[in-house]
Amino acid sequence: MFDYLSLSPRIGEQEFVVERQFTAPRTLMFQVFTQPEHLKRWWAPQPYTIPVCTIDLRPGGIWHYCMRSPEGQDQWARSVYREIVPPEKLTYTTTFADEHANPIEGMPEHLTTLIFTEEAGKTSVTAHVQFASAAALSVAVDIGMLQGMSMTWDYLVEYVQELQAR
Amino acid sequence: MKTLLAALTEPNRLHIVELLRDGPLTVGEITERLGLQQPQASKHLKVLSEAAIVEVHPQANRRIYTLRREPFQELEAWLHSFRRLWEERFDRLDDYILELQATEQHTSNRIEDTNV
Repeated sequence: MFDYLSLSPRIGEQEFVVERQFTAPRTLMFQVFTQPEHLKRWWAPQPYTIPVCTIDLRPGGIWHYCMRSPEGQDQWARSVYREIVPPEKLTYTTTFADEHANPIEGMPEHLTTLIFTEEAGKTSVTAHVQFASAAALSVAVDIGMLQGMSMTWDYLVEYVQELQAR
Repeated sequence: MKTLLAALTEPNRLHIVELLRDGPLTVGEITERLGLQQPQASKHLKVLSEAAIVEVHPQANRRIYTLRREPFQELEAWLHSFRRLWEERFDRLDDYILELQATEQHTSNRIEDTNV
């Protein structure tokens, strides 16, 4: 019947893995994933920019940043670190937030696990992204997390109001 | 796909969909495997049917339920595009690493020049 390999057997718990090899030592790779001055330069997909990025690199610490569209629309995200093993592993949960890093109520979280492995001067970075429930996925889809980047505050505010009205 | 996920936030409906991934089932079989009363199972099947997640084929005096493909293909496509976001991010990181290394190379050359 349904044997889509990329779909998890448990529909509400979808996940995916993306891997890439870089010609750089993993200490450097770990730094570019955990230092604001680096992240500001590459984390946002083109043509978005990251004007603000703060990081408190410890378990329970917050990584808070703003992604700005070319039209000047800002979207804030907040991740909370769970596990930090320099330069091997990093796990954090991410959700949308306001400019003070307060998570927006009703927004789903997804968990990202990054694994850095070095071999002969090259580092493989594996990103494992997990959605915990159908509800989380549903909200993620709703707000167009993917086109995530094109999400506007108006839409988000409207969505949150709708959630609260339920 | 939104309808799919909204319908699946109810645990029994999620369970029904997971059962149907292994093949078509009758209402009786679904009821039995879920340990529900038939009216409850029928109610959930009605929701799934209205959301176009399952379809029903009458066969003799039985009603056979199967999953429809489309909502799952949409879900897969959506996950795929989220994945593509990461691919793009890695592309940009690749460029950034090269840029960093070029700068580093440039700096160390200058130090060597100064030493000479």
